[in-house]
Amino acid sequence: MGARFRLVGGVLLALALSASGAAAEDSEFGLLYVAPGVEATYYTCTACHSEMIVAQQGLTRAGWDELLDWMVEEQGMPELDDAERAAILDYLAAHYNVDRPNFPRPK
Amino acid sequence: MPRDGERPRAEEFFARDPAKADKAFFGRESHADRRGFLRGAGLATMSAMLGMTIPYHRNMPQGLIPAAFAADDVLVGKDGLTLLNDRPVNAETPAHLLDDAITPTARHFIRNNGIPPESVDPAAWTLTVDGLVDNPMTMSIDELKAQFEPVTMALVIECGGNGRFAFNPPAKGNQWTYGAVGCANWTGVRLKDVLNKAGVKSDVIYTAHVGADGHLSGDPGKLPISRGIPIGKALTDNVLIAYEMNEGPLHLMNGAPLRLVVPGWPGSCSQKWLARIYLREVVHDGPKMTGTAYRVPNRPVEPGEKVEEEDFVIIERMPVKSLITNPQNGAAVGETVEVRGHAWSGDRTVEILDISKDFGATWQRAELDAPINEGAWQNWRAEMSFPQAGYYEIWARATDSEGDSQPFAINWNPKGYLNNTMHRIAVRVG
Repeated sequence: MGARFRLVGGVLLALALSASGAAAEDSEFGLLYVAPGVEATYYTCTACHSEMIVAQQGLTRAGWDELLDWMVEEQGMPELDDAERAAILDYLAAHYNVDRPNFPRPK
Repeated sequence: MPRDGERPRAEEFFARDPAKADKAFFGRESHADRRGFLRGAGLATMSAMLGMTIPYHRNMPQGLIPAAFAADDVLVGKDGLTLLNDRPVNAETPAHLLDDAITPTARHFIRNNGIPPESVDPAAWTLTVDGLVDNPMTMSIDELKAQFEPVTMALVIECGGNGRFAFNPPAKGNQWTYGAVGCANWTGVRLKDVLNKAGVKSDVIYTAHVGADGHLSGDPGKLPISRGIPIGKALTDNVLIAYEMNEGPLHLMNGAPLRLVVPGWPGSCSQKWLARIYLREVVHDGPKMTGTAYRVPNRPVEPGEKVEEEDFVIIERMPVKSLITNPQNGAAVGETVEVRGHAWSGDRTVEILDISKDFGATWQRAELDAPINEGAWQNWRAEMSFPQAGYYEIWARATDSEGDSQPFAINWNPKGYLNNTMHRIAVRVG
């Protein structure tokens, strides 16, 4: 019993270790393409949801603008100040537009 | 050092037999009252992994994997799924892993809109049925089982956005490819029986469903999703309030311990972590019922066209579709291969399944099983031979009981729903 325990406990411990090990190698902004604006985008969006859903999208600047309106009006996102909103929209429009340069993964 | 190959073993183990996995991993055994407890060594193991003690460990239900672990690996108990999003969790199954006639729990896709409830103890769960009914009711799961006839049916659940990845211009939302679909065996009671016992008032036109999951913003006053279905659909024979999945417990991410299963309609109708159903005299207007969610334009539109909100209509049945689950896309095969998969069409049956190896120039009829019950997908198979070595594509095309077939090109719509184009896979014949 004791030996078996160490064995199976080890598998779970390995699980935890491999998860944290993988995270350490990844970008601090997860799946998002690293460029100016990524930090504001990452922290604004991941307050509620993963950046993984952001990284799947391909929208025009107007499309992203509309999406941010919906987040504020319907989904409980705090209003952004103009400069921050512009920085986020510039970033998203540059790297997550309809030509999908970073889908399914950053280039 | 840990090897990646060890990861799936723990997950599969929990998926197959949560009680046994509990005992093996944590030394936890079940009490007669179905709760588990941690013995010395098991408690020490789990506590060590969490980095702290668990004061209420005696209350932890059997098979419960601590949420702290789940945060590191949101696909515990799933096998081979592709993770699209980890908060909320959305994961689909590669087509070749959907080969089973009945989808195993470990291979059923996950589409969450919010955060699953922390407490999913079946013994403490209740379902309320109220609104426009003669006798409002609140029942435990045991009371549901005792009062209504249990039924087990194989039922297809497909996400309304399955196939969204192929839309151009892209459509917002999870970019599902092929695998946001499954056909598990669900055991539960008929929604019809429960509603009839509650007494449906004559002015009811729609149901409204409420789950116990939380909104992503953390606002306790917000529901992540609350959808409903026309009362006529709710009173059909194959809409279930399910408490078992494949003769075992529901997977946490598939709505444990109680969910609706509305086969053949967008998966969002099948409310997970089901806590309340109320009946209404208007079309339900909960979150993701209104605006453009789970809606398509009332006419064919040009790709990229801006469509006014009032021109969107609620999606009801899902269209005819099929999947090739063998061979795997990109496989090397011999001169002959068994091609097989599934086909389904919401509220209808599939009558014909054709496959092609020459980009649709000629078609070969596959052997197609009848559904094992209404709402199940239909399994099909055919032996396909290739004239010489080289690259081929295998296409599958289902035709349903109303004569509808799968198209080659997408009927584009702004929100990326209902992509039922033919499934194409590549094979290399050696």
